[in-house]
Amino acid sequence: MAEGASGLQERTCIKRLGVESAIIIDMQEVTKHFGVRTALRDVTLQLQEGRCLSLFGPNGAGKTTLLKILATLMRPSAGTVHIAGYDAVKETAKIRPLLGVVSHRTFLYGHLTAYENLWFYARLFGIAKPVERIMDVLHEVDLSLQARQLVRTYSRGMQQRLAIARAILHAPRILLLDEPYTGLDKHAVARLQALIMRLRQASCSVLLSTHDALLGLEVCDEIAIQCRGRIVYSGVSSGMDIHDFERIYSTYVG
Amino acid sequence: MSESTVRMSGSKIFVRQILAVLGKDLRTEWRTREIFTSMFVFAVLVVVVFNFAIGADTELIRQVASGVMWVALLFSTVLGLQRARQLEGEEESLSGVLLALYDSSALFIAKTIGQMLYLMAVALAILPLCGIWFRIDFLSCWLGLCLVFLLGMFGLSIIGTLFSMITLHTRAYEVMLPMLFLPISIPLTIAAVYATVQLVAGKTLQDITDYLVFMGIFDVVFFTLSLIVFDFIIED
Repeated sequence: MAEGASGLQERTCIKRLGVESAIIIDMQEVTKHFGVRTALRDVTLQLQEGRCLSLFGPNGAGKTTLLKILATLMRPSAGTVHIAGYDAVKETAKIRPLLGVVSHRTFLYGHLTAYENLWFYARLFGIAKPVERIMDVLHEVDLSLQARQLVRTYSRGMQQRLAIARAILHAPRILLLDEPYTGLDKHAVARLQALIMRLRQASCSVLLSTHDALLGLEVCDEIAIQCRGRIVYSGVSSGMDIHDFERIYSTYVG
Repeated sequence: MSESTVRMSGSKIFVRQILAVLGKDLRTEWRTREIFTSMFVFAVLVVVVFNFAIGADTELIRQVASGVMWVALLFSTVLGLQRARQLEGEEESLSGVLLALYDSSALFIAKTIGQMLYLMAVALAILPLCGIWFRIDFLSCWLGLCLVFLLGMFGLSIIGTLFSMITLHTRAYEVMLPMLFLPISIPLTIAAVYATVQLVAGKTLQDITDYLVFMGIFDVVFFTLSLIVFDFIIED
């Protein structure tokens, strides 16, 4: 298997702007059915290592389904998904430690404190110096002072910040963020944007879905627009301002 | 994974993850006491109601007391599993745990041990009450009882956890869990009841060997089966 994975990685190395970079996320013609309803139709999407892709689309476009398939929490009905060269259906155990996931739900336990939640995940991931790492990520999301409070006493925004801390706790190579700005105030949004930029500089690949075009464009290298389960537009975001984006969005989504 | 993670052998990671999930569950339960309270209150109610229903007929009490105890434990298991599922489901925390697990069987084992500990706590709490109300001396056969209860509760915990996970994503979870769990657990419960009745009646461990062997085989078969199928069950 190792041979197959390295072979795939070699095949997916592409030359772009003079820099060789591996494709870390590779979805090919992925379809997902829920009974008679089709959430994803022939979705093909690629993301290079260390880059950020913002996924836009109206409600019900299938963004969350796409992210769940990438997070290995859902299996595609058809098509193939490779993450870091591993098959997302057959090799989930190898993929999962590489992922940091922020979903609509926080994956946190309300009856534990923020520190206890992160301690639990640190134990699962086998983090070498858990106390230091937990304090680092709590500082990163500005929750150091509330570390000993029960999570159920947190506001929605604080829970979202803690979910982000949970997602980056094990320093993942790929960050999947589903509507990460939900419930965040201006200050927290600015911190998250700065965090995403820092993670990208550290070669972490980021795929985020958002309705906020300004925020999404600010951090990404590439954009994709999804509508009715299909990727209707994809391209690089450099030089694109909000007006260009809105024009493209209204052309493809309406 | 990052360089900050400890490099360990697979089995060490597996054990560490079991302990982490178990520790988290026990800590949450210690803080809320929701699972134990619901299980204990239900078990006590069953014992009290049957105590009044049976009346003062000593011989009848002796015959049905073991059955009453096991019925209380059986339905308490369902209550405990339903409450545990609610706690896990509030923020889809199970998905977060799965993303961090080396092998999802660790989750099954941790949840089974947790459920067994809750059942043991309930059994330890209701046994003295049963002894007083049903006028039975459990201390005279405590060793045999320990064995029967361990095998019985382990079996209930295994199939309870398994079916709890099978029905996790179903909409009618509260209905589906007892519908699947109760019929499968009946052979084990019957064996446990008969073994307990015989011990209370003064029989020795040798006299209940058949029941113990049956319960042991039941536990081993379902435990092995659960470990094999758990990966398929827990995935979407």
